[in-house]
Amino acid sequence: MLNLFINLCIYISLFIIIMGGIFSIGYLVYLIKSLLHSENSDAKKEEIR
Amino acid sequence: MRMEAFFQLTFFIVVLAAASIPLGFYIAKVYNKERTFLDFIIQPIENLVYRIINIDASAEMRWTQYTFALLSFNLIGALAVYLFLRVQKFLPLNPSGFPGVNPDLSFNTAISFMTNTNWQAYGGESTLGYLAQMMGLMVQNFLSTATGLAVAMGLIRGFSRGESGTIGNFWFDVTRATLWILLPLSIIFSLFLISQGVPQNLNSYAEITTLEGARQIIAQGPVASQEAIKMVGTNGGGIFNSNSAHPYENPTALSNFFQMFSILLIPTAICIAFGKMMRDKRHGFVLLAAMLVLFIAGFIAVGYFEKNGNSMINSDLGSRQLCNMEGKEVRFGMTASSLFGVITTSASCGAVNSMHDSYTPLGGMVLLVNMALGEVIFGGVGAGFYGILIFAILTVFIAGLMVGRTPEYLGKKIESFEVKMVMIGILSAPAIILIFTAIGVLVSAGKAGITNPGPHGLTQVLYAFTSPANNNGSAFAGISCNNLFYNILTGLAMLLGRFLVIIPALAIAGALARKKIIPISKGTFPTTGYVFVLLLVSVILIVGALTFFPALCLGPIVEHLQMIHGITH
Repeated sequence: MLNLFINLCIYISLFIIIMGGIFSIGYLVYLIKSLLHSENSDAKKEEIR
Repeated sequence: MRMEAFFQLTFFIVVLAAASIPLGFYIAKVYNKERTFLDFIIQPIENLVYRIINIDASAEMRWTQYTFALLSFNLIGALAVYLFLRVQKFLPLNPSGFPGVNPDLSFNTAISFMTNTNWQAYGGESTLGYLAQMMGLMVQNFLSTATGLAVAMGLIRGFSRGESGTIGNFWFDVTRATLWILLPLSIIFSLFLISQGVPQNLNSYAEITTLEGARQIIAQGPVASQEAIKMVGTNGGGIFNSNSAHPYENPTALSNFFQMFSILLIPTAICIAFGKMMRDKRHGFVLLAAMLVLFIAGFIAVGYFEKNGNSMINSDLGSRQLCNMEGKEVRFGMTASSLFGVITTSASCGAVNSMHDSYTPLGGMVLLVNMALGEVIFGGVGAGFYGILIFAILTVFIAGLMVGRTPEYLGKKIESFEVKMVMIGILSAPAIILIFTAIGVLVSAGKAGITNPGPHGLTQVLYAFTSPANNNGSAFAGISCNNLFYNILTGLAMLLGRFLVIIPALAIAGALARKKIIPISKGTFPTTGYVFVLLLVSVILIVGALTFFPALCLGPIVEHLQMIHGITH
């Protein structure tokens, strides 16, 4: 039973770390997109001026 | 071989070799607990995991303890996937409002992702919400791959240790595989795929009006992250039903090349790591050489049959002969599709960028044979390695019988217990495939799935059990498999095919770890030269031929004969 409980804990720990990894990829993409978007907007504003 | 195919293959092998050698050394360092450049980030996370759970990850396990830990860990994974699929209706991030998946399909999918098969009897974009994809399938993509790697490491320790009786710690092995190897590689590969145009978002499906005025739903989602581990972990289960043929999973020629590369990266690197851990790199290179011989032969054969195309079509075309482009993406072409097909069936990945059902009869047969040989031509992460090591033990046993000496491999005597385990490991998958195929073509529920009767129908059923039993997961797209009969039977095939190799492999590891390491003598059969490579390849082919030749004769070979004689019924 102890073995099963440890396996469950390992599963949950790795689950959290993997999900963290997946969301960090998404967040990184969001950051890069926002950065590119803001750069583009600045360039456009400059162009209009 | 045409020059284009030759250059593509050569370039592929050179890039693969250049990347897998440093990765192999890195894997060896990770499992030998040596310093790596990622220690400063990952070591604190690993230590925290062990501290929270309060376990000693350096505590050694006997093979029985290791197996029990592995089985219970995998059981938890399967139950979690089953639960996520059943209750997905209540989960957030389900913008299309998909209902819970029915019990038999949930069972099939849970077993599929637990066993690293990733056989998908459903269309991902029309069945699963984002959270079910991520929490259920994507997490299991990592953990099933880590399990395969753990078994490979257990077996390596069985050979490298003398009179110890233990083969390592499963929790340590699975945690190291996930944190040190799979996560970093997946993050890098995800970012590369995103740069190529693969979506990574949680948006609702886009509804657009086409130029013709029709309405079209464009599915999207967290594709890049799933795609990365799908390839790196030789899983093969994509977000979209058409898998790597879909432009959102595989948008460019470059993404196609690196998808193929990433499938074989870890399986190749494990062989290098094996040589390093055994302190004789030649042992790893020998296994790699045997894999490469079979791989190149498979590619030449598929390329030849697909290049020659369908003789019934070409007979009407005179001098303008067409290659077989049915079921293939024009943007990838015949050669890259054939290479992808050979790689994915060799490596137990199961991702596809062309439809294998549409290959020429003999081209499709080669893909079938790649799997039927036991997924030892590179194979799945870890699984291919312990698979070919089992064949290597059989080879030294047969060589020993031929010359009348007690067989030895890597300084360990191979005795009756090991050979019995080897036989279970090698014969279980063929037995499952042939028995289940026989059931499939006998009962009406099995025959109902066949969409193309005659010899091609037999090939469809044979493929439908060969792929799950060898934990490949690719589909011979023609057959209709999402019903109770196929969901239960292919689920059982995946379960038995996975663990009837893993348990004997760990039993062999345990038995070998207890034995003394014998120094090499004049009587030792050399296992580092080309003779051993030749013998190993021969044993793999003979076992495969003896078990599957009759079934192949009735399926693809008859279909080929019908094709060249112009028979269509």
